Amino acid sequence: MKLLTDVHVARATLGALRKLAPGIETEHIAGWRSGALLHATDDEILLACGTEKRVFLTYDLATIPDLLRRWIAEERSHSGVIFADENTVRPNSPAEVAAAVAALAEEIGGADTTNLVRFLLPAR
Amino acid sequence: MSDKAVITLRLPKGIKRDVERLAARFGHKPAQLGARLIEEGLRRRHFPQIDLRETSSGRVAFLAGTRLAVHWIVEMVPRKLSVETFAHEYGQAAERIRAALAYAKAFPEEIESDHAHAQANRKWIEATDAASRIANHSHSKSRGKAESR
Repeated sequence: MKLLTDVHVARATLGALRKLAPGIETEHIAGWRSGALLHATDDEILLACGTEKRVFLTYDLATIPDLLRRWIAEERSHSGVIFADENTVRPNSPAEVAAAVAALAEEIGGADTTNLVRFLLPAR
Repeated sequence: MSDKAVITLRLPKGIKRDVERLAARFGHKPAQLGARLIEEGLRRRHFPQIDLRETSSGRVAFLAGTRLAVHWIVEMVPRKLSVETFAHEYGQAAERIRAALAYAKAFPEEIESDHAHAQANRKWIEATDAASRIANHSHSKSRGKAESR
């Protein structure tokens, strides 16, 4: 799986995830494509993820779900979005986020992530 | 009694055309859009660290130059992290985080509405997630059966 983490996720999560689940190729939005997407719209980010079949991990529950529903109505596809909530998995805890993502990635396995919408739960 | 007042403005013809075009694009009346643009201009003047962006969910306040929505910052600070810790962890100056909190204090209804919207969306995400888990589980079971044959 390829993953792009949104700005809410601590950059140190990438290192924690590399150790825990080396099979997940993760980029942080601040570093991916030289940070060009830091000022991009939600549409542009999802389109960029689509070019690499990259799943987007975000804590933005306010604007991206509406965009996804609009895309569904327009029969447009995306390469998958994992939503997280600060009350469920702490975004500034690399270990917590990495463990939760690794567990979810294991559950998803090699399945196609096109139009995938998942909610990140703490690892058991 | 209405809390609105009428003001007449003289605009250059080019600006009037732009307002009309933009109003047509967003499905507003030119006067509504004009009032909104003035209000946003004043907000930007009072809160230069805040960026009001048009999103799929309507206008949302963000910390300027970042993808950090003000309502999200309010959820994190100070309940989960202090201003200083949050600023350090997200590579921002503490003054900018304080500016976001000040904006939230000035427009509490807007921030509460953004938060409520995020919570409503969370329900949709959880329902979609539950359906995916069931589908994934059934798929794994049928794959397991096929492999054991």
